[in-house]
Amino acid sequence: MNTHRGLVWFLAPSLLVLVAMLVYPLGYALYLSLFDYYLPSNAPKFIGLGNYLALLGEARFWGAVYNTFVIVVASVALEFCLGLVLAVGLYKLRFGAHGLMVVLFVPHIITPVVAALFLRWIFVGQWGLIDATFWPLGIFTPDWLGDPIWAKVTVVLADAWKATPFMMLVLYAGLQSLDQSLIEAATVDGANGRQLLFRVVLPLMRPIILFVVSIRIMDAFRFFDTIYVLTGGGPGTATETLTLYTYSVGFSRLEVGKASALGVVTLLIVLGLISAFVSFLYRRERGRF
Amino acid sequence: MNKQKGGNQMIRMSRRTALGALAGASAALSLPHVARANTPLKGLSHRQPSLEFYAKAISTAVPGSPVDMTLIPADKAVELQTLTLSQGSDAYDILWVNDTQLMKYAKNGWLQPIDDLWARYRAEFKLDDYPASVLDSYRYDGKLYAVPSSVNGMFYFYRQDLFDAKGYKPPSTFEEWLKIAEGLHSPAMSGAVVNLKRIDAALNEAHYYMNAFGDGWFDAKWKPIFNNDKGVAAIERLKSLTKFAQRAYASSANDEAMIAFQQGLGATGLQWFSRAGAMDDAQKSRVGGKIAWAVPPGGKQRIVVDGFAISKFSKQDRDLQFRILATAMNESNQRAIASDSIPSRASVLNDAELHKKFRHYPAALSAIQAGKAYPALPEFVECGDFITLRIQQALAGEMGVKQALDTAAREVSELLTKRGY
Amino acid sequence: MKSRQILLFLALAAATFVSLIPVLWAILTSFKQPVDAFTIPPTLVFSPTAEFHYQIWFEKGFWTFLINSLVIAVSTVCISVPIGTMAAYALSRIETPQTRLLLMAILAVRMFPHMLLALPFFVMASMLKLFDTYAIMIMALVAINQPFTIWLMRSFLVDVPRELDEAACIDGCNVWQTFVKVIVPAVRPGIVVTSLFSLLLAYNEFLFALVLTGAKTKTLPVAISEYGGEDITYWSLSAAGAVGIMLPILLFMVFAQRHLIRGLTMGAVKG
Repeated sequence: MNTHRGLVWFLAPSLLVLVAMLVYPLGYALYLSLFDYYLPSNAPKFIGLGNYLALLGEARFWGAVYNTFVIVVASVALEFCLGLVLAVGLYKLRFGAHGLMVVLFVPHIITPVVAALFLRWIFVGQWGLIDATFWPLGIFTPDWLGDPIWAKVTVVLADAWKATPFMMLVLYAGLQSLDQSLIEAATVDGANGRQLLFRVVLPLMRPIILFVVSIRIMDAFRFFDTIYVLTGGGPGTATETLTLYTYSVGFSRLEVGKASALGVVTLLIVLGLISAFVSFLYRRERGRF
Repeated sequence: MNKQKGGNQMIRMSRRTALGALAGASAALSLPHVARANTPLKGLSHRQPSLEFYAKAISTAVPGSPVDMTLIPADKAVELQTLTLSQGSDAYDILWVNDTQLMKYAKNGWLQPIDDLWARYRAEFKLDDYPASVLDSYRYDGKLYAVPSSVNGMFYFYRQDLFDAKGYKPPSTFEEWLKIAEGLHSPAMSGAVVNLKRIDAALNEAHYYMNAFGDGWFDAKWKPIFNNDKGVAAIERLKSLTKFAQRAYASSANDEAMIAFQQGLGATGLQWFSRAGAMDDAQKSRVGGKIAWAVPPGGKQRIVVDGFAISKFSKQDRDLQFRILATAMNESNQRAIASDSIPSRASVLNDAELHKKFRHYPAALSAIQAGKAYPALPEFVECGDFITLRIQQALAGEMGVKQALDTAAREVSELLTKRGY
Repeated sequence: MKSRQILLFLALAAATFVSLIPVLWAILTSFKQPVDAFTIPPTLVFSPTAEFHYQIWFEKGFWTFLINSLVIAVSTVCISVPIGTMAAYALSRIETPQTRLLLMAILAVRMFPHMLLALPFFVMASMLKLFDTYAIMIMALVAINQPFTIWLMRSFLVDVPRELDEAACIDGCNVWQTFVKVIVPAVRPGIVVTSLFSLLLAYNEFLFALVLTGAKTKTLPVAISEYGGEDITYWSLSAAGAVGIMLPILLFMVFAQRHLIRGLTMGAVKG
């Protein structure tokens, strides 16, 4: 314990910033969530859990929860699979891997507001790049943004385009840091490529996988710009997620109290999901994240 | 910036790494802000070609009093205005407003009435040039709140060449429009360009149907009537037209409608006066000279006025601000941007020369006569959040039109009751 | 073996190309006249114009916004990464239920919809009279960046053997000296990786920048979004701006590539 003396103070600057900048806003949101507060009125009215109860009784809220789950699960799963395939590919490649990796990372560095616009230019009907390329050839593409199911698919593809590089980079790092002797031992035992991946490599990488998946789930729950630009939550409510609904309540209707309640509910949902992940991790990995 | 000191040690540690570059660049912290005059006026406006012109005119109107104009897309401009004004902030002095925003902001006491300034500078800026009917649109509760820049409105865009080839005339009934849209529709050509991105585009589009074919949005006591039989039939009409609309119409707004027309992909549709001039601009358009305009069947499409108001929370000299606005919106400026915006001063609006110069003027002037502004309800756009969502659901087949409008009417009633109606 | 390597390379190169299509398309768009930008079929041969790039940087003043962006992003990284690393070090060495709870609590920030922080941030900025200053923007971004920085740095730090701390302790170093002389050099590549992600987050941040910055401190993402839509000429401008805004980050990545790979291979989050 001797080495730990004074270590607590290392937390101070970071916590100071967090307290100064975030405790107030988060606390304020929590507080507001108990009020009926129409922003221009400047006269919040205390209604206890009224906002929460109202939300739980709304079909639109549950629809948004459902859409969020579908989109988050599909996106994160797709990103993980693609990221893993790319990472393994890069890991095995003996030349040019680093150069390719930097280029593959490019979609991740594009400013989100702009990235959404780029994707709209690809997917929009008629003059979007895909339709404009294939229609003159007589090939009719799906209605990417106008069909309820395809709109969900497109939104998932869009998120995957942006986030797969992140997955890839972190998983690649995980692969690089594996203990080579374990892999060699398995190879000597006659494991083929697939067995090696699923029986040896992935189990070894479990902590890092859970870390990166958790981070991505959190971010996917906050996914906003792309959906707002691509589909605006439509057609109908096909792609209206919790954040889009929050935007609608908070920014379009200025019901700040109810929007805060939505934020808190979102936080709780994500927290529940992540806690499940972390406790899973704790059990298997003896107290390490 | 004190925090910076604590980090220096760390930064030094990694100077030889790539971080070194970052640390070096952090010296930029000590750079002063890019030099500007002391506390210039600040303004916030929506960006589109004619408002961009006026923003520039405002920033240079009075020598020695520059105005920093921030120009952003309409939805974000309204958000930012609402956020800053609701907190009583003087972040922005001059605000672009249309009639609906003006009502909302004025109701909340966020704008300065300018009747006294108007009277004081009446002669100097020839303010009597503004028709009384125009000025009425800038009043709330009897008080004047903005200096008018332009009148805008929607009218019916159509492809003259395609109409001629098939012997079509601009439709006088919706059924004719529907037939034309069907007749001209093909994968490469949308029979109708429909824009239902929430909230603004969708509410504009629905406003026309609800007023031309329904009984309007509300009765005299602000009770929703848009879900009555005629209202349902009106939205059914909209739904029938979407069969011949471009793909992804549910997330399309003005900008993409412009591309559809300019690239020759759209045959008919409702669009703004301010977009008409760009149809003949060869740098942007492939259909120069081929688009013509008319009043849509039944009229009652949306018309709106734009102008600039002074924030209640501005600490800057209000006479100066008024003189800046009145100068920026003077006769010669309104004339200079007449291609992209319909002027609000009578001397410019009634100038026969302009009517000849810009092909769309005759139709636009008729459309102003036939059109209809949004209800005089400061909360209309908030109601629109419910209305447009439910209409979208009806069009996407998630529920029937009747059910959708009933739901919206209930939500709107609840909202308005809460707001004290 | 050789041919399999080439096949693998080709497959990865193809994936790279597909993922780059939207970016390449935007780059092409930025050099086109609006009338050629969105045609059917797409126009690939055209006489390029640098007009929009020129306009963006020289007429619309994007270089001042670039300076603002860099000042804010770099300062954020220079504050966030050091203090986050310190906190992460403490959290990697003290393992008690309280610190685990603290780790989870810190993460909560990353789960809360950021748009709901915009209003309180603006209220704070107004109260402190810090609206449109670098300071408030940097503070906000440092705070928003802390969870990720702490978590990522912690995953590097738990891999540093404790024997190193103890050895330094025996040599008579105090905690601060141990941290600076022993621990930081050991995780230096990790710092590079964390810095990259923090830089990206700070540089690309839009919502808070929209609310907290004004004419004096406007950042590039806000400046670009100002050209989003309404007129097709603006789209050419936003394409040009979007291409421009990527360049500093690309340069940074190319420059830091070696450290980045080393940082990652050192055991980024091998846990």
